[in-house]
Amino acid sequence: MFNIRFVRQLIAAFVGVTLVVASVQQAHAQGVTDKLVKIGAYNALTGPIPVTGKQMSAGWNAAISAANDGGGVNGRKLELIIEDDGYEPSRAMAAARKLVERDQVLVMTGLGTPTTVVAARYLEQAKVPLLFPMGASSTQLNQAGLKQLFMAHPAYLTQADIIVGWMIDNAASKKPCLIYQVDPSGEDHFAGAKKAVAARKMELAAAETFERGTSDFSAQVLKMKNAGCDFVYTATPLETSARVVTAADRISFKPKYAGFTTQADATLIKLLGPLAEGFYAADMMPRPDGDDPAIKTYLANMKKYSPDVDPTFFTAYAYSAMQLVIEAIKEAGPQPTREKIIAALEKWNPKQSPMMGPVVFTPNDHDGKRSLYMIQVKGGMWSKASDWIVSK
Amino acid sequence: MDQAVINGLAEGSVYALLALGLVFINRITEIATFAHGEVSALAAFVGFTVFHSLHAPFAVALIVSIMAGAVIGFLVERIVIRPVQTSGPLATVVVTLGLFFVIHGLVKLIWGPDVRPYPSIFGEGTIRFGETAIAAQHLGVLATAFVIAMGLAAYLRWTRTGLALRAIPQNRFGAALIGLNLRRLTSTAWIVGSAVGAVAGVLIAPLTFLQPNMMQSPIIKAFAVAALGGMNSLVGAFVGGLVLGVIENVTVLYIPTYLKDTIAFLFILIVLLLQPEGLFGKQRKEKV
Repeated sequence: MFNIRFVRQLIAAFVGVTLVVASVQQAHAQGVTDKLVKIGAYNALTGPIPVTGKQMSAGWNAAISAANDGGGVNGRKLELIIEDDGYEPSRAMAAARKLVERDQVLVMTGLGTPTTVVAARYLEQAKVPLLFPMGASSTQLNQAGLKQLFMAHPAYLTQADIIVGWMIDNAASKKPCLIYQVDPSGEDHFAGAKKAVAARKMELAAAETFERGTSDFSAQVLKMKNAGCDFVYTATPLETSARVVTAADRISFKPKYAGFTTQADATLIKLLGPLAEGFYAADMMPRPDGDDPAIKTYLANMKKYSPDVDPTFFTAYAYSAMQLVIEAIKEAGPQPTREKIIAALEKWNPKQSPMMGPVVFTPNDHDGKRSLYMIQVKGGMWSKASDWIVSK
Repeated sequence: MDQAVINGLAEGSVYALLALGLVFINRITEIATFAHGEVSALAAFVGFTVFHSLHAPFAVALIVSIMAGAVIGFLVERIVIRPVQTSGPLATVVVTLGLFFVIHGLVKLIWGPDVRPYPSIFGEGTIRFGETAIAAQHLGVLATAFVIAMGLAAYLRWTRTGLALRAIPQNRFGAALIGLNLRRLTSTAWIVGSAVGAVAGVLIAPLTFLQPNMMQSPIIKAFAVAALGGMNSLVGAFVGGLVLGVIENVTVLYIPTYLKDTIAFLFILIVLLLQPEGLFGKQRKEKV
């Protein structure tokens, strides 16, 4: 039988151990241990845009591996946990919940506008920073006034405004048109295009729509041809843009084309061949064939850590976005917390990203990137077509 | 309007070509296989590897693709379908649905998710008729679908094997009783249907680009076309495909284009409500 004294000692020991464990847990925020910081990402590894998903993973992983080989952040290694969402909003929500509640990540990132619109709302409630996801509906998210979301990819509304405006002013478009997907990103592009033409006292000659997963665009291009469009803004995924151009070519419809940042990629030239000639796109990072030292380091790290994936716009964006995530964690100090990370980010006014140029955040404005430049396919390669254009 | 009709015929020919293998298998075995699109895609990927990695002429790649389709059809019937064939329609539906995911995953595992251009046997040109134009590839798909529909119909009507194949769905017990080898004939149906699917894969890939998801949208329309034409009618699949393509392409001239699929399925619903056996299907009457 136990005597009273022994039981008291046992209870005291239990309480002591519990207090020690609790104090250790309080010393580290969720997602942070003595040796590790966990970062979560929802990503479309299956579904309609798996190529993009694979490229995003490769870029994120290259940046994480390079940082870890350089000693990590404040003595801790970084661990990236990626969950597939198939580009489905409901699965993105489940992926974000799993990463936060089960994997206990410190911060999140991700890919996809429809998925980010849903995941961002959950992460706002859970008070988990969502840093620099690729694609998001600025219209929807700004209306929601999200404090946890920080954007480094120019909003689609901003992009459409810049690109359509530039094509009217510089490519002599008199009858601008667009084709867009019926989802939050498409609505943003449509709003931006309308803003650009309204500022020039013009109207869109046609605005054609399609559902996600559509594979034939003959009806859309015929309507744009009948409307007399001389320029088509392809506010669509990259593969879809290629399908639109080939469908138009089949009925001898040959307008000028311009796409947004996701189309500033060698894949478009590979898919379209000679039909890509003259295609315009917006870009936000130095060209991979330039002499920029940051680009050379990025290409070397891609070759070293993600050798099975060719560098593209998406790998470059993911790599440089993850560099910014790592910088934010570093600036949050030796004991990083979510609150400290947000405080550090809101002082980036501006922060010079090695590859993206200046990124600006304030407590009231988390839309950090508002400048682009135009490129064009010439002789089977992308060439610079403008200087930086800043949205007004 | 003229170009919309041409576009409809072009798009409808894609639905028809994919629906033909589906209808052929269903006509003989009474199994509507959800995996048909993925079998087509797998065969197209095999052809791509032969063409690009082994640097074989495209004609050789095409033949290898068709042979691959036939072999896949044989294996599917032998390994997956035969064990569950007597377990009722729900079991076969679930099995072909499962097969859809298995083949889809396999293609992604082997070739990855990349999107690739695919060579065209009919060339990249456009053929003009006055103010209207059609791509050589689409015209080739249309002609191929017509030839295959007529060829399969003739095969079933005028050959001994065709006659035996037609006997199976009419009376399985009777067919076995007169000495027909049901297993061999069922296997033949899957081999021929999947080989036709392979032709569809190789001819559709230049239009959609080669990627693991390339058949997900067309196969839904192919099923719709098969239902519209009458599920068992090869001529129905061909005509149904063209009718559906024209209806949806002409209608969206007057309404938002994202409603194209909605219009297509609304039209099919109306047709099936008025004529449940489809445009060319034969009504089955049972005495009770």
